[in-house]
Amino acid sequence: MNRISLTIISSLENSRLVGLCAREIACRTFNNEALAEIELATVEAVNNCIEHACAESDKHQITIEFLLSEDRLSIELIDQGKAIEPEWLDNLNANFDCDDIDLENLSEGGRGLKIVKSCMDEVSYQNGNEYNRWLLIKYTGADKN
Amino acid sequence: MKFDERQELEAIVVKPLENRLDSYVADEFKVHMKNIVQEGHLQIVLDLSDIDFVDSSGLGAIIATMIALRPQGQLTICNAKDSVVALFRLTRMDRVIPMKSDVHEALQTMCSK
Repeated sequence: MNRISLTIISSLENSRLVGLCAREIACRTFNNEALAEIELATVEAVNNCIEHACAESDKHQITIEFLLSEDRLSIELIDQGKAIEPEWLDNLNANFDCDDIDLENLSEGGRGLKIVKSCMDEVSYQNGNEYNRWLLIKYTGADKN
Repeated sequence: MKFDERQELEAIVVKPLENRLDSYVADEFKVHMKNIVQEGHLQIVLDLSDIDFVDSSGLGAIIATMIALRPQGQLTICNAKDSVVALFRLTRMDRVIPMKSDVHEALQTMCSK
């Protein structure tokens, strides 16, 4: 079992570093397709913390804990920023529309959490004791479908 | 963020000279692309051959370019790597923004319209 913990300041420049770190930690366990999903989900989750919980201020800290075991990679993100709005969590249960793309009202944003959910096997969020905790899990041999 | 740009037929081919189009550079990319549109370029081929990674912010900046080109203009992407294509498919944006295998095919499609 490998456990690695990183603490970054809440700057968007750092989200790419965390994503690359996730890919390196997972590289001997997952195939290329899964590695791309892990990197993307990690970057999106960190971006979400920076943009929403930390309100794009670089004065917050975010701790990211990677735990690689035989059956899974767990990635936990912990920050002390603002709690996520409940309606944002609806994105975790939403899918990308297959048939109803509204070209006239196509939005530039709002896809981050849906991407996290689509790329990982399990995603959960908890808020309590002034901390936000995101837990992302990717199983090594599991078919997420 | 650096770009390579050249005029080909009626289109301008824009190639970001970076390997990531993510939240850190998305705003800069969006401003640059909007400037190109405001200069009067309405047919844009976005060559992503150097890009290994796009996140939702980068995708949003590409969508912003497509929106800025409406209603007369058109954006076509080419040379996207597998991981980038996967993001477009996941988010269904491959149904909204044409994706071609190379610059030649992108130009053929755009200039035949």
